[in-house]
Amino acid sequence: MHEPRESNDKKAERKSPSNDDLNLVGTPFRRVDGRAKVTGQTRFADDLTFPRMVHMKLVRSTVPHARIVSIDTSAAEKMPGVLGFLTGESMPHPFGILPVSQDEHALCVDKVRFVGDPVVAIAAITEEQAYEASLVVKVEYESLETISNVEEAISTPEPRIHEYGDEGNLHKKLSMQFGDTDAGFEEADEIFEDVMYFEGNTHLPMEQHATVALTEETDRVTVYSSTQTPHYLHRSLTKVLEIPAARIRVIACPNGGGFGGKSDPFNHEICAAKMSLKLGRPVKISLSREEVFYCHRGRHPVLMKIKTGVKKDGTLTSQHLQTALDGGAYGSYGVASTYYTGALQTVTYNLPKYRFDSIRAFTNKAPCGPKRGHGTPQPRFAYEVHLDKIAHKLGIDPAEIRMQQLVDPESVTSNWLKVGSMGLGKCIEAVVEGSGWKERHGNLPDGHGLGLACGSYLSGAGLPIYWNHMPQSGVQLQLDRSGGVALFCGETEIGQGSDSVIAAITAEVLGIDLKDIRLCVADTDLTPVDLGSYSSRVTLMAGNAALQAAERARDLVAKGAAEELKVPAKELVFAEGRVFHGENPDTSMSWQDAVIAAESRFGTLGTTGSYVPPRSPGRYRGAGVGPSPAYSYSAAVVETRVDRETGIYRVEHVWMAHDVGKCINPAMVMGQIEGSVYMGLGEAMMEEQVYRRLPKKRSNALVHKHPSLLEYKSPTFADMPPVTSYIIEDPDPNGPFGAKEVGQGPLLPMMPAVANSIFDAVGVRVDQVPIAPHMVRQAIEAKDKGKEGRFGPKSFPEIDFGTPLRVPTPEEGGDGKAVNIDEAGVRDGTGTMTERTDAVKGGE
Amino acid sequence: MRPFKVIRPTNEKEAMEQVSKGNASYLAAGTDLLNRIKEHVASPDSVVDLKSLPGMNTIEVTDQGIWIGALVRLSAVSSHTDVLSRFPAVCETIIHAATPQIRNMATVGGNLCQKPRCWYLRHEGYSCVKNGGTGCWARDGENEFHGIFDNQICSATQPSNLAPVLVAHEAVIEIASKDGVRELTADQFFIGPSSDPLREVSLEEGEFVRRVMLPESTRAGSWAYEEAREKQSFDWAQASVTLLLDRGGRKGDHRVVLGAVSPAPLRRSDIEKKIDGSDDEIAEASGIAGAGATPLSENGYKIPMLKGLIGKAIRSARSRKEG
Amino acid sequence: MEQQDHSAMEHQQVFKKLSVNGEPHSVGFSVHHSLLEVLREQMQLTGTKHGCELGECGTCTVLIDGQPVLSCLELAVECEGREITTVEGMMIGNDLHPLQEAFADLGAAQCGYCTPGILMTAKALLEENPAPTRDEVVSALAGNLCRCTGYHKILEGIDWAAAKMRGDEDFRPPREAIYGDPLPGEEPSDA
Repeated sequence: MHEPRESNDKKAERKSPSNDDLNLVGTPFRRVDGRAKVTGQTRFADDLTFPRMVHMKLVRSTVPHARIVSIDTSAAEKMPGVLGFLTGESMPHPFGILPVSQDEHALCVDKVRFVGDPVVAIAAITEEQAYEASLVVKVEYESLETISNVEEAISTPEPRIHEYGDEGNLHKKLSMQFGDTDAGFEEADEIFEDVMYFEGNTHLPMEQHATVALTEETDRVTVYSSTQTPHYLHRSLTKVLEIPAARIRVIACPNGGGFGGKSDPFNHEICAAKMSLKLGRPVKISLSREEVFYCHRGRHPVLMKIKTGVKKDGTLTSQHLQTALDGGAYGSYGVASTYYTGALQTVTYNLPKYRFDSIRAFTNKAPCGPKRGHGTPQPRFAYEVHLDKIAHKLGIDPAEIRMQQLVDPESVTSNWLKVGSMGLGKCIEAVVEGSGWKERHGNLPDGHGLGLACGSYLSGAGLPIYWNHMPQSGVQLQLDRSGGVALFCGETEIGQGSDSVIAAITAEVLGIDLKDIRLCVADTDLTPVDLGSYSSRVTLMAGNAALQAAERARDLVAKGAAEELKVPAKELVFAEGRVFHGENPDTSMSWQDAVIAAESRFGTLGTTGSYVPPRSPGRYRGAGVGPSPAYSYSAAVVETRVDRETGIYRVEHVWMAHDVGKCINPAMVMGQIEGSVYMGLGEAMMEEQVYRRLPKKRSNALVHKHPSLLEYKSPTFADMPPVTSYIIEDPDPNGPFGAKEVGQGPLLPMMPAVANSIFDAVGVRVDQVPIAPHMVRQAIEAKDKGKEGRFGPKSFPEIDFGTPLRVPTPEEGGDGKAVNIDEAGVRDGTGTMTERTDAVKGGE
Repeated sequence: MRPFKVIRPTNEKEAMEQVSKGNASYLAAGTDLLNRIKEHVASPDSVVDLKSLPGMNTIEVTDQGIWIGALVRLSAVSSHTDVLSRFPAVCETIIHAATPQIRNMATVGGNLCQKPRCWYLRHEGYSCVKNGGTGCWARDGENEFHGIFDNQICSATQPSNLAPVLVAHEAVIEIASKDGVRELTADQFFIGPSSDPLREVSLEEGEFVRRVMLPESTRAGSWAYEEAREKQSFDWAQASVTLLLDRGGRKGDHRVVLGAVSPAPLRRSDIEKKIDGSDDEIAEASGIAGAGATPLSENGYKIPMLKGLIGKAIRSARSRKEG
Repeated sequence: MEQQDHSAMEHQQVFKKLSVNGEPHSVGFSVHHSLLEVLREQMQLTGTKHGCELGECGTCTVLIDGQPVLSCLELAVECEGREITTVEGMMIGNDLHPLQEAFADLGAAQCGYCTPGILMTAKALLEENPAPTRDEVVSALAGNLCRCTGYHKILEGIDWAAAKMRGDEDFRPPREAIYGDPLPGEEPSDA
């Protein structure tokens, strides 16, 4: 869309300044929300209070799968301060983030599907009163069989957790084939096969979810919430509350961390709105930490079987990947997650033939959804460890085996993903050099090792979650004659710095001080739609929208200034708060005067900008998941020491290189790299969302094993190793100033790099995540006894995936479409998982 | 939090009277009690604040030893010059506990008397041998962090970081009782379920710890404290070893006390005997780490872990001596 | 589940003078309320945040008599006569405290939710130890969790603030902290 800006070398050559010079973008400016955050002035959702505000609590199911027989609120009604109740009957319309899985109710109507599923909402004057009342609500359940994992879901088609889904308790089953994978295995010199497991884990944002809803009319409600996706929440509220969308206002407060955990519309948000409409008073709900664990929507546990054919020299010929996802009790983003566990396998190394099968099962546990990386870290773990094993067996250096078959920039993969810029080679070179890889890998003393792994991630999903022809992001600018600029955009600041990115891009183009930009964001009444802070879309999409709006504004002001300065508008340069003639800078006026000149001539000044991603070439069912305007790339080397006797290991150093395209702000980019390394380390070493089956004599319920910050382990200051970060800038033509994402990519290589470093240290494999010391120890003990030095899953379940959807690859001369839609039993497969003719109406 | 009243007695007799009236608990810093109230495993109608009592929040250095008031905060103990120079193992142990903030709040007495961390015991509604019911859920359930010794009746472990080092130093625990003051040595104070499954410490109804004395006679020639845990802060030990060598200048008077592996701190005189200055003392001592252990389904890893920790502790103590 | 008869419990209410950020505040609350609740709800000082309310994250850290403690486990009633410091008390007039400046400039506050608790702990550290080693900083902060930053910018921010507070106006964070390490073949240039 925009050519990457010229480098500062070119700038030095030029004699006169131009609008292509960068004065702010690329510098470590202070974040626009920095001061508010360090003074405690930032208003998070729970910090908001309103006159007459009351408090709400949810009564949640204590059983994992049951019919609701009766709800008795009589005792609770007598409690002091209690003002009102809600049950599921009052909100019969289902909702859900994906049009294809609208399977949630704000409060359960006839069934509960996991421990924690909300059943009743109670409002009282104080939070304590609401809480005390919630303890005496009596719900009677008739228990149904509990399905606790994927194997049980496969073997127990009835009772169904949901009345929809591909079969029984399998929410989704898919099979896709790109190229003749069997022929690809035939031409291989060796075939490798692995089974790997990635345990589920959760986002653990420091801020618990909170929402405040208030009404202005009987049919007008405003919802302030800690949400990453105000627009999608808006749509769900419209559907459930049965109020016109234009009468519902959603304002996303700055999130105290999201990581994907606040991107579903939630029960508590909808209940707060409904309760506020019922009582005519502001209603606040703030979830306890334990409730956040049950809210979840975190990383799916995935079992994977990966089979790859390679030539002697390490060239990949074919891959067959199978994944089985444990989805929890509801759909959430799960269908997308399922596709994501296969989609991005082709964007790093050339993979000419590829088959991907997957299932997602419903189980009676907290629903899984998107967590940083969204379905791609699991298969990336499998792939990168698998490739390490291949390299080791063939006697090829793990860095070399990757370097020799990197995907070309500006190419289309076998599964029809268009790759633009591709800086992975530079990333690998950086970490190889920085870590002393060549001399040290395979050569360190016993108990000391290096591991390498790579990854890639989207800079925004190419398609919106509901089918429409409208922009994915919009920005509106209002130029005030004071010289200030108001910037309106639906994007949401979750800590990643999105406010600063769009403000900086705007300030850069207009040549004004960052402080003169006033942001109005994430307000569905006031700001143009931005789909939300998920899939790393904001820098690229809102950034491009801001770029367009700012350039249009600059053009308008230039016209006004040109008349005053009597020079051609296109020769005017905007920088340092001034507008001047590039060749003769003394011919100038202040930005403010230029705005006045333009407003005098053209009236009130405002511009808009919007962004629609380029259409991706895939045309088969499922092609909607995977495409992106640009992919980021990351490579990591991890250095680890392992104690042979106990299996206890410590990561001593991390080298991480990330191809970000272009830094809008290097300090912010560094913060995202380090934060991703940290979270990846947590996932590799200690984070797990697992469940305990209470004994039959108790209730047989499936409860979260550690719903607390003490027991769910996450790394502390004392656990974080030194990190050497390399910022690689391979600008992408689709990114604003060439920028790509950085919030998710650097997480992906961490888990496999840790696993690979343990192999280098003590010669054993742990083929699952998180890697606990006892697993390392058991693998060592097995190897000492002459058995395979490995700890990991043994097998992948036998599943009949039927006939795969066959999509000829670009190499085969395909056109992006499937050739056997009927045979594969797929619904009219020209679209994507979001396309449904009845999905166009709002809220569905 | 479930509401409660706060009572502030001005003397010990009044404190003991108040706590015996109705449903009341003692409150020191509250880092354990308030936590248990919030998690619904404790529900007192009133708390009797011990912090208003005089004479329990100082550190007194005498010829006999160092007297530490039960209300002294953990961070005050670990930074006290005399405790640091005479009983450094105590300080080392403390700085591994919890976090700096909690150490600024938590008291010595509260640390000794805190309830075990067993996730069944801390989950409301579970009845087991430790809270008036029968049986032990962890034995046939999930027991990753539970004990590997003396775990037949109850497999929860003594969570106090201080407990093992106090046992190693033969610390004296001074207790306020109805009849005045009484004393126990640390190994008498910390009890296992075979004595009384309902208690972890030997305090009668209404009694509380007044002071702890670290005896001069057990100062170590050299020492070590080693522990293993999943994350390096904000976490409980999975296993720990407290080692004191040549106490009181008496050659061979060693103490090896294991933590986080049994319901009361476990002194291992068999291991002590193996630490004899010989070339293979480390192999010999660590080799018997698991002797007598009865691991459960998920905590067998604690045996090789103890082996490693004992080796580490001996090496560390030896180098301290030389250094 | 236990049915707890809370309705019968009358809350014991008190009226106390609490000194917060050097200013006296007369405030009424129930004795079982934590300092965290009283600060946020009775006094509208919402800068101090809750992360778990069980003492397991450090988010709610405030200073009492200069020492970092967890306000979620401190009963407000026990804070009478003690000096409470919250993040709102850090600014110097309308200027940022050096720690706040450094955090803002380095991006050590991303989502900003753990930031007040971390600033409090760091402030106490630097007041006690103006030139801490990296290990000393890590030990002091080991009771504060952060999910966004990976901790490094926070550590670098504390180094920078400590230097400023010692009067070293020339100290700058290392170039790599902001721009990353130089790539192979690249000359490390001056910031």
